[in-house]
Amino acid sequence: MKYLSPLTRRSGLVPFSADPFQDFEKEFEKLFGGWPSLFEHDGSFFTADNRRSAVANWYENDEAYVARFELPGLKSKDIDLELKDGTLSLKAERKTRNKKEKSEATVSYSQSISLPDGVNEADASASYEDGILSVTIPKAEKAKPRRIAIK
Amino acid sequence: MTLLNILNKKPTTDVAASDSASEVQERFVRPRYRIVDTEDVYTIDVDVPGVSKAGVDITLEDGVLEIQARRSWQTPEGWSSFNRDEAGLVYRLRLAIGDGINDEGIKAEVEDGVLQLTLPKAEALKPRKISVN
Repeated sequence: MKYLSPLTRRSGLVPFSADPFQDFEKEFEKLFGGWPSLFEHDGSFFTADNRRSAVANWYENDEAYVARFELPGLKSKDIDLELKDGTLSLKAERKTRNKKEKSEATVSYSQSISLPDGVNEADASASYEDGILSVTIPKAEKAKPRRIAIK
Repeated sequence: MTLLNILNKKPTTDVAASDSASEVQERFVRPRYRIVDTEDVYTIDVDVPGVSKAGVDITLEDGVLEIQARRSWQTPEGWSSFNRDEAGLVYRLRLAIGDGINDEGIKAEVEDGVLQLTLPKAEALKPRKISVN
């Protein structure tokens, strides 16, 4: 549905939700809203492909852009983040903690995002907590809103 | 690693708290999860990024295990979201577990946005070796 909605302010600059299946899963859940049995299947039958994009929630304030990536089950050392020439690149590998050897799997996250103009790449920072990678990219001085006094 | 209490009844306090806190509307999302079936236990990993120990409620009623995991995120003042605002996001998963589980032994812990549940199998379900005389 989001494709039909009016463009948001920054839609040209930053991609929408990176997971195309997210809405679909939601719809599916609505249609077949029964409770899955513990004994029938696991929740991953739509996502047999082990390459994913992390869902990102983007925020903005006067000082910075903030992206919060959903990356559950990682350690910060497993996340490779690079910011170069206006592009933010994210790579991460997650080993699922399954106890059976044969069902152990690796999920790879990989994505590149073009950043808007007017950011201060050198001062970007990132932190990882509770499965969320939070990247803060300060705005360059010229991109900050400025109040102009009227004389 | 934090150990959680498993409640057999729905907590009422949390509901009241979220009512008073809120213009924020709760949105329910079904999380990804994986189940591993080993000899003695089922292990369920549920992806709940952004959820800490305090945000998890687990109830077991009439053979249905219900997991609700709330993100603690609140959009700070002066911030605007420009794709999705995650405030009010609640992961909810219900699993029919019937009689096959030893209720008393259920354990849960949250680490790095993953909720790991351990459900011990009821004695009747465990494989048993019968010796032949």
